Amino acid sequence: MAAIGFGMLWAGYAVSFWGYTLIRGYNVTFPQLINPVHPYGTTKGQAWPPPLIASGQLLPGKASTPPPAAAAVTTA
Amino acid sequence: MTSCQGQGGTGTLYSYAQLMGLWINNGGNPAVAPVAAAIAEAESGGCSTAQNPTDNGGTQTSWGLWQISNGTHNMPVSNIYDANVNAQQAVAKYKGAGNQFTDWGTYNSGAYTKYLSPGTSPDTTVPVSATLAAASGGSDCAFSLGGQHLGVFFGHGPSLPSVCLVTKGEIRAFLGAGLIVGGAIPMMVGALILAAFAFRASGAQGAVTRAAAAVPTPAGRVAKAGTAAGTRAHKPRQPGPQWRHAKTGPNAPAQGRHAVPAGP
Repeated sequence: MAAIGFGMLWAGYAVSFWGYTLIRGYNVTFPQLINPVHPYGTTKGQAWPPPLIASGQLLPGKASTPPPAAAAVTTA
Repeated sequence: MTSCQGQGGTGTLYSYAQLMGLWINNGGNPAVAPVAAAIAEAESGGCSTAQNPTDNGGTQTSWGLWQISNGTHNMPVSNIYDANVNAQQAVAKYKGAGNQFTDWGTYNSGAYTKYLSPGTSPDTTVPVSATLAAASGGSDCAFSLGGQHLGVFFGHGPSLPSVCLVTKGEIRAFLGAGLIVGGAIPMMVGALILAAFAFRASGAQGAVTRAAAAVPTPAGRVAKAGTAAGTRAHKPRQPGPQWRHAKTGPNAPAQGRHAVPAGP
């Protein structure tokens, strides 16, 4: 029973969290977010907050790129 | 709007007020919009197609109004020259740095200060270059109405104004809100299951029942009756040799795991 409770708690949290990222317009897919081994932000080149969904794109997807915040200091 | 020539081709030249408007329209903090606009002026001169292929010692290429880069020579996003996309990336970069502009070299060097114009009001009506928006497939409108041509004078007539009914961002917001609400339901059920499990496993359930039974109220009498019924239904184990070690004697089971065959 405890396992079921934890499972439902985690599933609800994951779905709600992805809803939050959609509202914020973050370009993070659901599998990226809930990856149990490397959830988003733990892989090199990923940082929080993620890059925003490009204009013209409805849902997060392939256009996902490393966030600008992860870039080296830019420009002269 | 005035056009300009950057290394990325012909672009649109944005004024200081328009840069402030772009920053604010794309989620940037209005309080720091003057600094953001000054940085864009210092970085790109306000030209949307500005590009620096030898930035940061030649290790990266920077793109657009705010000279966005991901630390490589690849575009961070395909439509990085789109002024709004560039502003979105700049805002994300600013927030990612802890609400600081320290990712911009012109900020760190102070080169932006000569472009500061604190008295300027932001122009939030700034449009995006239609050419760039079309080239990038960047229309954010999901469903629009109108735009049809009215051929009233031999094919020469006015066109209905195009009105965007729902933008893709609004669809995402609705979907996201639905997911948050939908996710909250199993989350609450899961929490209740865990709470019930903990309530029972910790023995708190029995303690509460006993405490309620001690209260001389109708509810207490009900609890007392429930406790009595529960006691009858679940007799506790009888410790002692006749239960745990009943191998011999009159109470010894005839069969079973612990039954010892009777000797001769």
